[in-house]
Amino acid sequence: MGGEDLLEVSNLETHFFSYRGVVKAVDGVFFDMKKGESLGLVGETGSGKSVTALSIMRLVPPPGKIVGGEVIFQGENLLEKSEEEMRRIRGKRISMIFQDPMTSLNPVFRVGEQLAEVFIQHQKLDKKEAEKKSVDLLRSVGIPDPDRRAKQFPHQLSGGMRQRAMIAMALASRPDLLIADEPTTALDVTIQAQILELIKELRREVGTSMLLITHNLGVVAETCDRIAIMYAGGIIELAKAVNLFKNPLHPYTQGLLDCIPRIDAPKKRLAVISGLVPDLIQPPPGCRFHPRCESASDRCRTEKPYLIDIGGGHWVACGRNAEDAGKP
Amino acid sequence: MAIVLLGISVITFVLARYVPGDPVLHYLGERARDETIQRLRERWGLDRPVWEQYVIFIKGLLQGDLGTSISTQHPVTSDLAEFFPFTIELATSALLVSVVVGVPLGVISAVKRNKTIDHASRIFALAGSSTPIFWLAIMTIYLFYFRLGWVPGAGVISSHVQRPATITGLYTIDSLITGNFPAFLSTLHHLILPSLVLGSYSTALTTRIVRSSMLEILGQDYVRTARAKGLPERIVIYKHALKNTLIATVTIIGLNYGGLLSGAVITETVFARPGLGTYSIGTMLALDYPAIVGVTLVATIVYACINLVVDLLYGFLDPRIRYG
Amino acid sequence: MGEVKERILGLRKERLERLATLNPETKLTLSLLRRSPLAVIGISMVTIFASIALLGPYLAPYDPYQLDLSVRFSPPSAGHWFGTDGEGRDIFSRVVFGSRYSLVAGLVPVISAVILGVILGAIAGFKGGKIEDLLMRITDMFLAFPSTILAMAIAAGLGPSLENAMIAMIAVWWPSYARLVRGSVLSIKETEYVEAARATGETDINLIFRYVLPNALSPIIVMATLDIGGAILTAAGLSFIGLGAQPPTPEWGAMVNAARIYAIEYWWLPTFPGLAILAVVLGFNLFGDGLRDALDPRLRRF
Repeated sequence: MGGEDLLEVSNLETHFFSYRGVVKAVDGVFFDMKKGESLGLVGETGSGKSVTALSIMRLVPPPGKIVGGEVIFQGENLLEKSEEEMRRIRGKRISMIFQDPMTSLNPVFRVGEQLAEVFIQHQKLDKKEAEKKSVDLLRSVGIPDPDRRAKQFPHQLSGGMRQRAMIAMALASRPDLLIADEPTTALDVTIQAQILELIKELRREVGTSMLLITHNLGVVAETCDRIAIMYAGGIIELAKAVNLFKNPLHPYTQGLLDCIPRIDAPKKRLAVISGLVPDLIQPPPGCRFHPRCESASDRCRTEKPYLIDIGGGHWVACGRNAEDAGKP
Repeated sequence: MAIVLLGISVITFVLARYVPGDPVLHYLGERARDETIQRLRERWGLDRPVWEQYVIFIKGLLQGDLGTSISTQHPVTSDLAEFFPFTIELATSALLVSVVVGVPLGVISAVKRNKTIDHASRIFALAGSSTPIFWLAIMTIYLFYFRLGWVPGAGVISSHVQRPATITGLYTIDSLITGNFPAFLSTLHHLILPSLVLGSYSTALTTRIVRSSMLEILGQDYVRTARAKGLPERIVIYKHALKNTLIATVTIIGLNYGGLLSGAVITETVFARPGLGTYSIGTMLALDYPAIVGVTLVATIVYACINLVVDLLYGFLDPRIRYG
Repeated sequence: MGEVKERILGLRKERLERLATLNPETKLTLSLLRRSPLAVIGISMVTIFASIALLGPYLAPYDPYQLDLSVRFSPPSAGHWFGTDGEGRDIFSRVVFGSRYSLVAGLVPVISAVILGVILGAIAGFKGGKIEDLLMRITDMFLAFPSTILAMAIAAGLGPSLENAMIAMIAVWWPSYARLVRGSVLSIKETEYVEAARATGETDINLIFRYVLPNALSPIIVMATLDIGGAILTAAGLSFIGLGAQPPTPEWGAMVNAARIYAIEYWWLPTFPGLAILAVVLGFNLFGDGLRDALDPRLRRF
């Protein structure tokens, strides 16, 4: 893949200012994406992956605020744009789909109308044309009888259909980047596969790059070219999918992979990563993972590690790995 | 539902008769002769056992007869037909005020959360729901009638204006229908202050509820989706969020109306307007059983009807219910 | 058999632990309350009024019933801060004494209605079946009336006095609490730890007190604090119509009523009692609002 740079996120910091203190949900995130590729952002709940996505879109809800860093999209820093400029980008050049299609669609408006809005807003079509295109779009995402469905309300559609409609809405303007925040988590397992397949197909057709956010390693294994692992507000490993599964370097990544039960391995107790997710108001000093890491050294307890290129596009933020690779 | 109505009628009936006073004595005075007292008792059916009185009452009710008012000597039904429309006129215009003022205020308050206008409207809403209506009425009459002379201080219509013909009993409607514009204007002029005063409490309530409903909705996922689509903020708020808020607000209207009917009692008294309020106070203090029962029954039925309408409206507006 | 016993003992320990966790909840609520300026202002106002009510005799410069026809209808002055009424009584003193009636008229009906409603609602929700149905029908009946009109009718029926007005208010208000509690009871009844407690042979009453009530408590408290303001307004309103406190009692609503005909000439007659009502109700409403925000689970995250 190669190709031009699409997105470059540098030292992104998004904090939530709550009564109990400042929650540093995103605390120095670095990653990049090239045109046409798909990057999986993986992490547990509370790791900050959704907030990262919302930060790129500049849709962080209060009391959250982006407090630092850069988000360079096609050469422009999104964090410096005005709200008006962002509005022209959202839905048109960058689109987002969310986890729960039931609550993400407005229950009091018809599905077709909600889709048509995108055409009316970004392609300046009139109502009739927009509605016609919406029906076509519904058909292309595999919804049978699209004429009837377009006139229905979200609660009259099944979960899978709703998510298809959401995908249609996101891809209507053929955006350059699609951000998908746990698109299959709320769906039945059988539907999950269908949806992922649909996304793959459409991406191929339209040429959209994708940032896929999930906690499910199985999903990224299938759909993503590269994978970034996120923990407690920072990216701790970033590599091509193949390399990550073959050679996980960060102890956390290794732990995650160990946790996946395997059918072909002899039966044993399920592995866990001991300890709890850290408090983001007062994170542990040094490496945020060190309290749970078996190979933590003194250095890990005091110095926060940065993402270092181990080679072959494989980056890791870990004191031990840096030593192993002979880097400072 | 029928059982509830039956229960209501029993309660009202018992209520009206469980009094430490004797309406006959009250009416005739302490020094009336025993004969007269007895005769009147018979005439009013008060010498029969209570349950028999109740049966007579129900029988009459089923025929649309609510008995005769002790105070006015007219059939209660005709009294009610004369007075009730005024109260409805007042309550409805107060409701209009609360919707027209409360809804936009609540929406703006939610959208511009924690800014000056939000604080101002919250203070206003808080003050409005803490102010006794009778006091507000007196104070505003003093200010706007006595000091400023902008509005009349009492009555429903100016004495020198010709009253409109009675079609619905509502002066506003009747005067419009019959083309009697002086009457229409005069009626409106007399309605302004009472509506504002009566509506103060429900406006405050509406503002608060619309605000909190709107805040909740603005935090919903579908609003986030609308923004993620790049829609301008004004469409996000006035199209996506507002419609959901309105559906929730409709239910408040029903509750409000009950309070408005009750508040109308006080407002009418202070503004010396005819209506259910003045009628009911007079009859209650005079221990006028048939009238008391009639008033309570009718007020309750109207309240029930309004709630029914609201329920239907809600079912109609919310697509989740309508298209099940 | 031994296993089962072990499980039950384990559940008993769980119960105790759960009771202990109530305290962090209350601590959080109190700290949130302290942070909300509205609630703080509200409760200060309420405290001020409560003190005024309690210290009445020491604060009032005059006897509220004392007539002095030589100074009737005097405007506010140094000697009479709020002026005097038609009988020469000092309005300031009457307002101070009136605070007692209003506070009582606010607190007593609400507390009684809550107790009555909670008991009936809890029993109905718990027992279910015919008893529950009966309660629902009764509350339906009561709730079908516009509340103040019903209160008026009852007060009229019982005879005009402040006590009867309070009884009327209790009668009108208890159904809402009964319904609220019943709803909470129904949802809690189905939870597993109640079933577990039942399995250990807890009596019904115990179950109600230890499990149901603590969880149903917060909406009740919010509703009650907001209702206190409403009760004070209703009591004043009933007195204003003549169905509540009777003159010469220095109850604020009755005072405004007596002042009505003189309002145009002597503005201070109705103004101060009315302002007093406004202030007290405002205090309770502020506090109730702050309390509701503090107890709202959704707002607690931030």
